[in-house]
Amino acid sequence: MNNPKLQKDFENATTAYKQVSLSVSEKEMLKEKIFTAIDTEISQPVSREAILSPFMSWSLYLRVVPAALLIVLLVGTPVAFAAEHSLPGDTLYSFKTKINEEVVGAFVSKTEKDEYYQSLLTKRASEIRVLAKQGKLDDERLAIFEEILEDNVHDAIATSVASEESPKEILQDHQAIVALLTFNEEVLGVSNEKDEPEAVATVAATFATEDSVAIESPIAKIALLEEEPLPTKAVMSAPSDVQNKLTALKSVALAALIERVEDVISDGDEKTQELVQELVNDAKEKVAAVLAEQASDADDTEEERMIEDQENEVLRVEVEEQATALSVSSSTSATTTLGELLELHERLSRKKIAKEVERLVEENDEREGVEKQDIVEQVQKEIQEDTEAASELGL
Amino acid sequence: MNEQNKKTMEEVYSTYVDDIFRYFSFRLGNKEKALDLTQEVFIRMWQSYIGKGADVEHIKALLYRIAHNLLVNSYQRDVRHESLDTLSEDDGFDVADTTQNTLQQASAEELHRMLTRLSDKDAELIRLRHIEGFSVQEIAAIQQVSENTLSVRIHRALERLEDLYTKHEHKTHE
Repeated sequence: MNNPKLQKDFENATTAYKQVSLSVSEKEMLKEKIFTAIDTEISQPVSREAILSPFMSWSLYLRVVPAALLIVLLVGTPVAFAAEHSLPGDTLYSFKTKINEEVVGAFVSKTEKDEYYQSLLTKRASEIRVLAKQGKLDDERLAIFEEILEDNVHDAIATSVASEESPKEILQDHQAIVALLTFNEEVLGVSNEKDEPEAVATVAATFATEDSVAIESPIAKIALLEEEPLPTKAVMSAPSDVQNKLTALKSVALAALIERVEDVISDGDEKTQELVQELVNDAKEKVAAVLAEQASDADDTEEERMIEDQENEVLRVEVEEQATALSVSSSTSATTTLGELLELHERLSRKKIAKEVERLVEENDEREGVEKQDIVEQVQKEIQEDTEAASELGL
Repeated sequence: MNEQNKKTMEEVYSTYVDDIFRYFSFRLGNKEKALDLTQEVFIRMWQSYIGKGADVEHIKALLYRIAHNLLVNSYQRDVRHESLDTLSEDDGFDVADTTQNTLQQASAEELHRMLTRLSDKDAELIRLRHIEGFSVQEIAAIQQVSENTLSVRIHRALERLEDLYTKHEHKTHE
């Protein structure tokens, strides 16, 4: 240190620094504060352990997680896979419906739930069809099936109502469910016609739920339709009524067909072939009718017509393929073919009905007054024709 | 166990309370704040070391290290903290009321003003080494650097301070 001034300043600063001190009372006061804090800590030691979140209860965690894991593991296992192809009455059937489907349903997003439950109904339809084909429909299997079906229908209706769909969409969904249920009934009617007439009634009763969108037994709906003509305003405000009646009518027409088919099948092989041919012809006629109707529909835009024509063309090709297949198949497979034909018929009718109702709803938005009556009459007439055509064919 | 620790704590307190208080008041120029931080230093000393019965070798260096960290935190926390320059002019050094003669005080204040013209790190080293009288070894322990590095740093800081003094003297002579 070469600077004498700096040297001097350092000395003075050091002296000044050392003179800085606390008074005795200040020291005592500070000491008391410090030791109070220390004593507090001794009596209430600060926990160094992690504080458990109040949102996580370990007991709950320990219970829920293994259960969830078990389900996830099971669903991802060969057992779950095998269960997917089980039928009512099989050991794994309850696994399929109660675990597989429930778990998947729980993970399906809200917007897709509606679609998912609809798909379950389709699944049930194919199950019962397979059972019918295999001739395995007995009371036990039917009871199991009914139970599951009832749950599925409730779920489907609940999600359909809960989702914020436009009335038109709900209508279509409703129609799809009704059509599906009707179809199931038909299949049951075919396979268990002789010894299971009660089963049909039971299934029909299952469909007649107490919900606001209750699905009435097709037979009950027919009775309703016969008693009173369609009230215009009621129809327009609640198009699903029309929908129900249309579906009911269609189902009666089909039921008549089935009855006739059953008779013929029991009579002999030759006749069976004839009837099958008739059915094929009928299906062809229906396709042609739908096509013609579409062509004459002036309200449709060019684009819509094109799409519809394409769809109809696909259906027509399918029918023709079926017909070809039938002509070469032996009479022993008549029952199987009948099921397939019915399905085809079902699809055609359903498509036609859906279109009608859609058109009604659309027109309802645009038109007012007397025209409504005309539309309803026209629809009624078409329904009548449909029924007659079916009746002629079958009876 | 606790009683023994408390006894140790009392000893540590009575030995170093003045040093720590001095350290803060010299740097903050605010008695209340210096008292608060002094209290905090001893509470932390208890919580982290003495209260746990830890055998501390360099209690003094440890206390100053805690004090240093608290000071840095306090600077960072108090965005509006006034510069040491302002403090020395206003209420700073009011703890030095006991200064016996005004010349001595003036001299100390001039050094203090000079230190504010150095970087914070340099000023801190000068304070510790030449005003507060810490050994290089002790400062190395507080700042947790090697003694060699510290020696070089202190030497350079002193050079810069001397430089300032020389320039200042030239100015006053002119």
